[in-house]
Amino acid sequence: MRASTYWVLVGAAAMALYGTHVRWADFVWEDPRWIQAGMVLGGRRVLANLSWRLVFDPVPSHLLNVALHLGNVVLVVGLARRLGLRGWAYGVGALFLLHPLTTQAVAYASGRAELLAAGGVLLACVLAAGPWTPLTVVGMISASLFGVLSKESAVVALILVPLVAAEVHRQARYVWLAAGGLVGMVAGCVWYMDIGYAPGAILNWVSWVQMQSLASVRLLSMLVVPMHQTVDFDYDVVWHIGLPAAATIGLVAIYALISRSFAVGWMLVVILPRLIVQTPRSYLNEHQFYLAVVGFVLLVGTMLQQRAHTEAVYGTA
Amino acid sequence: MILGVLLAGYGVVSHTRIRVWETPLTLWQHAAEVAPCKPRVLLNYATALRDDDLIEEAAVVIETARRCAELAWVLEADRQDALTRITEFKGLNLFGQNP
Repeated sequence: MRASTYWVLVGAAAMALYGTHVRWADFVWEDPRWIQAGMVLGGRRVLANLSWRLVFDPVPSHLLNVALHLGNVVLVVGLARRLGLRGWAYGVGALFLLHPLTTQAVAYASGRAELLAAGGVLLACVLAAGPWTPLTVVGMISASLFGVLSKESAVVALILVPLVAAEVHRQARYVWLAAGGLVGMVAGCVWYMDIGYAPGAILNWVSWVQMQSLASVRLLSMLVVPMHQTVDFDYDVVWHIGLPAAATIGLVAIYALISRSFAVGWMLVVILPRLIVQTPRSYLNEHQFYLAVVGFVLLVGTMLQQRAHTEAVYGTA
Repeated sequence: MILGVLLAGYGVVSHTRIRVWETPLTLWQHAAEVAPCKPRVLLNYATALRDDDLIEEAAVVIETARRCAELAWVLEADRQDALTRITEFKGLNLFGQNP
C-alpha cells in the first residue's frame, strides 16, 4: 500500500469513528471547569489553558481533539519507523488510531491537555531517535517543554527521550541520561505531591500505591482486552487486591529490566509519576493512560515483525 | 491477519465507546451500569437526569446513592461528599421530599 493511500484511509477511519461525535457531542464531566480555568491566564497547564481561550465551543473542541490525535498517529508512525519497525510502523499507527483506550482522551474535550502533552513527548522521542545535533537537541527540549506546559504528565519525557535514544543508538551514555532523568522525574514528582484537591481524602503512600497499582493493572490488561471501560471505575470495592496488584507491577518492572523490553518499559515509565503524585479519590483513568498505549502498539508491532521474520526464515508450520 | 483482526475488533469497541461520550446523561448512565453502587457515579448520574428534567428517575438514583454511601468499603471522604450532595439535592426541593 502506498503511503498516501494509507493516510487517506487513516483520515477516513478517524472521521468514521469520530464524525458523529464531533457534530453532536456536548461538553461533559469536567469540561466546564477546564474551560473556566482556561479563561484565567496562568496555572501550570499554560498552553492547554491558553488553547481554551482560542477554541471553546463543543464542535471546534472535538474537531481539535481528533486533529491532535491524528497528529499523534503521524508521530507514532515516525517513532515506530525510527525504532526499526519499517513496514509494520503503519500497522502500529493504525492500532494507535483505533485502540479503545485512546477514545477517552479524544472524545472527552478536556482530553485536549493530554493530547497536547503526548504530542510534545512523542515529537521529542522522534527527534531523539534520529541523529543528535545541537539543532535536534534544542528541538527535543522545546518539544518536551511544550508537553510539560500543556500537562504535567509530560514530565515522563525526561526518561522516555533518552530511553528512545538508548534503544536506537545503543550507547551507554543514553542509559545514564535515562537514569538521571528517572532521578529528576521522581524528585520533581515528590516536590509536586501537594497536588490533591481534597486534602482530607489523601491516603498514605502505601495505600495510594496499592490502589493506583490496581488501576494500572486493570488498564494494562484492558490494552489487550478492552472491556468494561468507564469514566469512574469503583476501585474501592476491590481494594483488597491492591497489594497483589502492586506486586504485579513490581514483577512487570523486573521483567522489563531483565528482558530489556523497551515497549514494556515505556508503559511503566508513563505510569510511574502516577504512583508518586496523589490525585485523591481519582485513580488512574483512561485519558491519563493515552501515552502508555503507544508502548502497547509498539510492543504488538515488534511481535508481529518478529513473527513475520521467523516465518520468512523458517517457513510456516 | 492478526493485525487485521485486532484493527477490526478495536475499531468496533471504540465506535461503541465513543457514543457514550455524547452527553452527560449517556456518560453517567453507562458509568452507573459499570459501577452500580459507587456514590459519586450515581450522584453524577442523578444530576444528569435532573438536568434533563427526569426528576422521578433522579430521585430513585439518589436513594440508591444514599444506600451505597453507607457501605463499609466507601472511603469516608466519599461518604461525606455523597451525603452532602444528597442533602443539597433535597434542599433544592427538586424531588418534593422536603416541606
